Amino acid sequence: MSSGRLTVGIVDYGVGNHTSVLRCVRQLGFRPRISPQPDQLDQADVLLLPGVGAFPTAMERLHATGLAGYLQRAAQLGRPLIGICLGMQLLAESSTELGFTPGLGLIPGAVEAIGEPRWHIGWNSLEVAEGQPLLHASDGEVMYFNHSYAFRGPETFVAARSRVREGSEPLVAAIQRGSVWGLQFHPEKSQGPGLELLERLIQAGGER
Amino acid sequence: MLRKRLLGAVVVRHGWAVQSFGYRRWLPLGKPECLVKNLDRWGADGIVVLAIDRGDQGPDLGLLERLGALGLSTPLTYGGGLATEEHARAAVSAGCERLILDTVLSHDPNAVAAMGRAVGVQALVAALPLVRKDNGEVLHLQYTTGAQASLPPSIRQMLTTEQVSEVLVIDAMGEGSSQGFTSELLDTVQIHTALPLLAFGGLAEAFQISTLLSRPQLAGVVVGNALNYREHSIGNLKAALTDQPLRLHRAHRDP
Repeated sequence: MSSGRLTVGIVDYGVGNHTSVLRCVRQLGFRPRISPQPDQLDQADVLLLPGVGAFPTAMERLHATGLAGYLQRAAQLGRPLIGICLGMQLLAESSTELGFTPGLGLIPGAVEAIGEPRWHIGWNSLEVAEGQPLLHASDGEVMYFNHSYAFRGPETFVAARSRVREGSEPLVAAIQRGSVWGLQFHPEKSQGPGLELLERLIQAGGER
Repeated sequence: MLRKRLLGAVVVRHGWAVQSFGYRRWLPLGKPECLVKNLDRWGADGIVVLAIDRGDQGPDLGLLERLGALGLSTPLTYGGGLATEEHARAAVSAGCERLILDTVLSHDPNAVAAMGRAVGVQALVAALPLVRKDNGEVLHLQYTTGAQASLPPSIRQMLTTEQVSEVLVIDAMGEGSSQGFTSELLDTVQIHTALPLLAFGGLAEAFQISTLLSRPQLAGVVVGNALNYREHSIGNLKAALTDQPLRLHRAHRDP
């Protein structure tokens, strides 16, 4: 672990937008370390699991690189881990995207097609759940979403929601279990509100 | 609830940002990085970069790397030369959230499906350059050949089966002008799909944009030339669109 500036280990499993996340972490003043190597990621204060793409491909890559087991052990040890977009969905027990695929199983719940409307693309406001002090300042803030599958699971792990239309069924926007967080939106592409939220989560993770 | 989006477009030709007039004439504007950085600072809801000279050269990864180095905090959508699953992966890896597909839609539908599996269908946007003829008929324009024809069956099926997640409807004749977007183009596309639509071409004035954004299926508008000549043009335009559910920009508060 580092002293002073926090080190953020960006898990590189060959799927997704690591470049954007890397720049964002650096911009926030943290020290990014992007790697597929457990010994490199072990040096990080906080682990960040990005992802853009399809769930089965991503899980296949996590297993092929040995990172699935690494992340599961890290979560068991209480290491801070933040999943972003597809990275959040991978934290769940399973997904039905392109067929049934088991996930990392770090947070109880499953990833399923959104339904109607099928897409959740664009900027939407967060409804932060009770008892989420780290997200409280982001209640009502507008973040950038881009997904067609969403997490469904026990309320106790739901940290924030969003609604496609006023009065419509909410979609899960953030989940949490202990030191493991999942953000369905892209904080790195949500301008000020997203950067501030990510900064708080990393800071809090590093202080644990 | 989801906000309507006001996206800024930067058209790139031979490495330079250009003001495009119907994709027939071009006026150099400067480095794409400068224009993209401005749109990021000014709080665009998304930045659309269209490299219009790629042909079969594949995506302009050098450009995407330079844009990635800017550390944008705004979603980046790229179009130009995307023809294979590998292209799609490389563009996303370079920092794009979404990819605009054009020629490949009709030339290689299998490649579009493979791209969806590789980077997710939510990342794929279909570009439909359309032309409305004097007799009211709406035709699809192939930029590479200049040919105009009915929407190819392969594209119609792609829209029906939602192998892409949004459709960028381009007014190919209005592009580069400020005479307004031909709204009948949207009527034609809506017959074929329930996908969210984006409108691009000829949009500059707030009243034109407001009228279009009032359509429920329209998720946003893409504005090009009109944004490049005034500081904070996005904010000014949004200020004139208070009747629409738009997002207000807030920059990062420095610690």
